[in-house]
Amino acid sequence: MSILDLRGPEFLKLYAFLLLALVPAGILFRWLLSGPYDDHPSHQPELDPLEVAYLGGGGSAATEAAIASLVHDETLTVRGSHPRRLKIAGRLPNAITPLGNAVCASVALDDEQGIDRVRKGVADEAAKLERRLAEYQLVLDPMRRTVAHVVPIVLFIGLFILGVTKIGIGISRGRPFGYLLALTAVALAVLIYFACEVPHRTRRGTRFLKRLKSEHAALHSTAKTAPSQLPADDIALAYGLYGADVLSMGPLAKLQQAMRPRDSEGGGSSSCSSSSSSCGGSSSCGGGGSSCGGGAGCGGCGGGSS
Amino acid sequence: MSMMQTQLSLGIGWRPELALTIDRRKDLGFVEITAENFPRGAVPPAIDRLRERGLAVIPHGNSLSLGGAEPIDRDRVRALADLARRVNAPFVSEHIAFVRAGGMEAGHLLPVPRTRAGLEATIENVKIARDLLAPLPLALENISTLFDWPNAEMSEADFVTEILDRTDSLLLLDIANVWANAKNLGGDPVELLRQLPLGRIAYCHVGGGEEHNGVYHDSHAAAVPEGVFELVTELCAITDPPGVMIERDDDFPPAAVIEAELDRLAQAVAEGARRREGAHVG
Amino acid sequence: MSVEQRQQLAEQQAALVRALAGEANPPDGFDAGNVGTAAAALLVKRRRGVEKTWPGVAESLGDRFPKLFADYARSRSIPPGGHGADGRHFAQYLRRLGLLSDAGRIQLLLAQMGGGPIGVAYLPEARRIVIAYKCFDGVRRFTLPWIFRSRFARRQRRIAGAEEAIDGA
Repeated sequence: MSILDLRGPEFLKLYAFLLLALVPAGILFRWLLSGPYDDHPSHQPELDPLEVAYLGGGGSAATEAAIASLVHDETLTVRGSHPRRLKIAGRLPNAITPLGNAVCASVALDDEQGIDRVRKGVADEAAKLERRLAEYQLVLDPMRRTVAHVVPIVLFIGLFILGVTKIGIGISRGRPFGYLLALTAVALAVLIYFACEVPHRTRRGTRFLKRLKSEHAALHSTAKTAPSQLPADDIALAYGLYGADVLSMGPLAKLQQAMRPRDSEGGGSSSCSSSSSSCGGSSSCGGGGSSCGGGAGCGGCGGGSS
Repeated sequence: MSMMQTQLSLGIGWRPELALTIDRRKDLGFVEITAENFPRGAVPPAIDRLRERGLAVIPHGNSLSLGGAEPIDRDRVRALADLARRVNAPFVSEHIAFVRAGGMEAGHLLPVPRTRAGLEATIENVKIARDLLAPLPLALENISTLFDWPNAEMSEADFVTEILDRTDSLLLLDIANVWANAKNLGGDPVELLRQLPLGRIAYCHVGGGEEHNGVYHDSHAAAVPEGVFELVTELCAITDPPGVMIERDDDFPPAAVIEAELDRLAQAVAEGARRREGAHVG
Repeated sequence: MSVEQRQQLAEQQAALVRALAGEANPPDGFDAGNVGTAAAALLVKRRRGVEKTWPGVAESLGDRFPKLFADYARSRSIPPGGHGADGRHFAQYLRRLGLLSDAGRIQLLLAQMGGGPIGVAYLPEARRIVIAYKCFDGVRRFTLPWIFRSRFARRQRRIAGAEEAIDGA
């Protein structure tokens, strides 16, 4: 007797059980495949900023970090609006990375180039950053990545199809299928989640990244509030570790809108204006001091925490 | 009367813009954070890292308005106390000043009238704060001002001394403010220093400013004048402050400039210490 | 300390604060020049605070920022909430005058979204509407073209025309 021949309520129970069992199973499966788990010191190399970016978010994050550092040292500018495009604005710096070079070459193909086109154009060069990361087993090798990615997807495709088929049967027999529809929708949601979450780092890689983020916390604060005096490498590293969060000031602000259309509009603005206190500067958006532009003493902005 | 204070050595006001420079500097003993910038105790990871390295973190308030006729807001004090607990501070600091009156925010630290009324009002507020902060000590800072009240009944030194003595508070000696007041309102800065209760010093501020139309503005947005460093040396020739720090709030210069300023401060302190020790030996 | 003494102290302090905000003359006995200098420095400090917390607004005004801010500061004393709140009120002031840039409107929208899940604003320069909504990982927004000619555009042109007439006179 096929599973589809079960009566409604029994099928529903079975389906719910499968759903409840397979979700953690899928997650566990991916976790099991994400070794090695240690963070032995000998496995912790010196990574350059773009490699760190790759560790954090793959080829596209590395490309964005390269773009951010080129915009920062004014080799590229951001032009236009909706969508924003890149344009060569200055001479290429002497110490440019291969990926940076590829980005400039891609931008130079046209007068102005959209960021997405650049991303696609340099994808191959970006992928090369994976080499050392794979050597130290900070990212999954392609085979394991594929298996970890695909297996839960297949399971849930199966579950989804099962649900849809039974719904079809239910419709053809004029049976109610409300609950099943809900469960199948859940299966679809989980399927989408597993499809979108592409396994990337090993456990070791994730812990290494976390350690790096903690080590460079001061860079995060300074990059968010006073990036102008930082060297391009520091900007690339800040982007690689903390994302578009650090692109909040000056020319980088326009870049932030291009790459992450959500969140604040330039200059630590939204977090400042939404915070109630802000004595000459602000909390989360930086500016720790009381800005005493002239006048006796300092602070006493009278704002204070509410 | 001298009190055993937490030894702090060289320090700086922590600002996100300076975070990287501060992180890389290896001879700091403490940082000061502006309390109002970290509501609900939300402190950036960079500061926790400094704490792990052994630096002390001191919350510095700007908005209690201890010198105001209105009784202070207890919630603000509690917030300061919470922040101090969060960063395991040895003490907290505020100002002998008021920042609001008549329902209006001044937006600035204003001098308290040096009258009996002003004195008593300040002492009452400080006592309320101390009770809420206990057992955490409270250090009070002398401010700079471009004008004086016309009805002063006592000198600034006497005013500050009486407040600190009657509330048993520490002194946050802002050396640059003493220098600025002497410049703008007259007086000998070294004399002013000697009359302050130097035994109560918890730590010292040193900040920069600029002159416009013959008036010196203590803006913390410019280099520290040489005269202030000289005054630091004079102070250190008399006493040994547990800590001295640089304040910078705006127009942040390159890291090298901040480093140089910290070096100059350390040098000024060392020079004063040499003179002090020479005087003992000789 | 007696009640009368405290009351008198409160009044004295309030009179000084009003004088520094430019709303009254300095009380008797104060050096008017020094108080004036302090008041001017206070305005600069306030302006600098808003410039740092609402940079988009300040930048878009360019040279007009100091004058416009001084006009606004005269009309409104510092609100509680520090420079962030001051900037928000300034942005609202500019919007009433029709002088708030698109960047400023977006920042104002995000600041005012505090309570609700969704916010909408019109961007006159880009002639688009922006819709911001809260997502689990922050606030996202997107824009749509605004196909109707707006009253705003006509008012902008009228203001610009008036400014030109004054400049020309």
